[in-house]
Amino acid sequence: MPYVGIIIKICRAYTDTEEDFQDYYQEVCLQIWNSRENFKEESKWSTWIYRISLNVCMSLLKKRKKKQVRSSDYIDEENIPDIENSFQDESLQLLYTAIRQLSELDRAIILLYLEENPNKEIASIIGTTPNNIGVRITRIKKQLKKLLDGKIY
Amino acid sequence: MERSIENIWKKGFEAEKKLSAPTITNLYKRKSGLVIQQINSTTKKDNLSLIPVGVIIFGILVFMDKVILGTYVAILITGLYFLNKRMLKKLETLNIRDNTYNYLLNYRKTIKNITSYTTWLMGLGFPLVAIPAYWMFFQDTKIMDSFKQLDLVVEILIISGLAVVLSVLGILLYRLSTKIVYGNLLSSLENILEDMEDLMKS
Repeated sequence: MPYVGIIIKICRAYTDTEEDFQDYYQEVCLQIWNSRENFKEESKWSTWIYRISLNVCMSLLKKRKKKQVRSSDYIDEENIPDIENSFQDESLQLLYTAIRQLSELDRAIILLYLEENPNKEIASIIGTTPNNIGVRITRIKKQLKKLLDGKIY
Repeated sequence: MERSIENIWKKGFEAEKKLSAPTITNLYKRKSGLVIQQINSTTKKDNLSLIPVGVIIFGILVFMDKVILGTYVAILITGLYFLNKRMLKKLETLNIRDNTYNYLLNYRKTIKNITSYTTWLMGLGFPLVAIPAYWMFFQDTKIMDSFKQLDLVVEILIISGLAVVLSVLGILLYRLSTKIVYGNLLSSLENILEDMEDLMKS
């Protein structure tokens, strides 16, 4: 499947456990498959894949957060994140850990930025202006730098 | 010197071997699970609704001083409830550990069997149980007295006509109610199966 890397990178940024990652990945693939007939030639395939993947991941994360709030009285030992196993590259792993601490929208923006999408493209996926994206990227990068301070050399 | 996040990202993914896609083994498992769960819960609720309906009809008929007819209808509705319950158990006995596609195929087949059995029941059974009910309802009334004065052939023709009308009405009502209550759920099930077949072909 083409663009599989995009889906994996996005799903990893929105999940803490391998089990969640598998669930999110399957759901994204399912949504892409179900919406394949709605794809319009006016946008690029990659833009469309980004849009669906981010929408699915953000909505699944929101649902999960709601569930967690409801069951916050209980300590579920099985749900303790096993984030250290996501990537072999230690620096990349640390970067992902930092990205996961950002808000849902900021995660989307930084992922699109790191994937070298121009601000105009990011703005069209997120639904805002390129100027706004530029400002947000600067802020997010500062935030990430703070989170990674002294951890990566 | 501290590395930039752009650099970490680029170099990290260049060396990353874990970027292979997970196998999509159960792509439709959760999706179909939700539809099956909804169908099962709707069939249970649908069947359970027969009990209050039976009680209400019994109450109305007792109020109208038709105790025997009320008891007859209540027994029939209770019987239908238990019959449905028995049929719906078949859905639960399907092997859920089977692969999703086979499970859904078996599920659809069982649903179709239940639907065709119930259609047959409504077509044949409904007039068979409704005519005696009419008889009991109109007993000792002027309508029944004038009916009894008719020629036997005419009586048979009227009863047969009534039976046909009730049969058609029963089937139509059943199909309509099935479409209203289960239409969307069953078409979701069909769509999932179609998608899975498409996926297997491609």
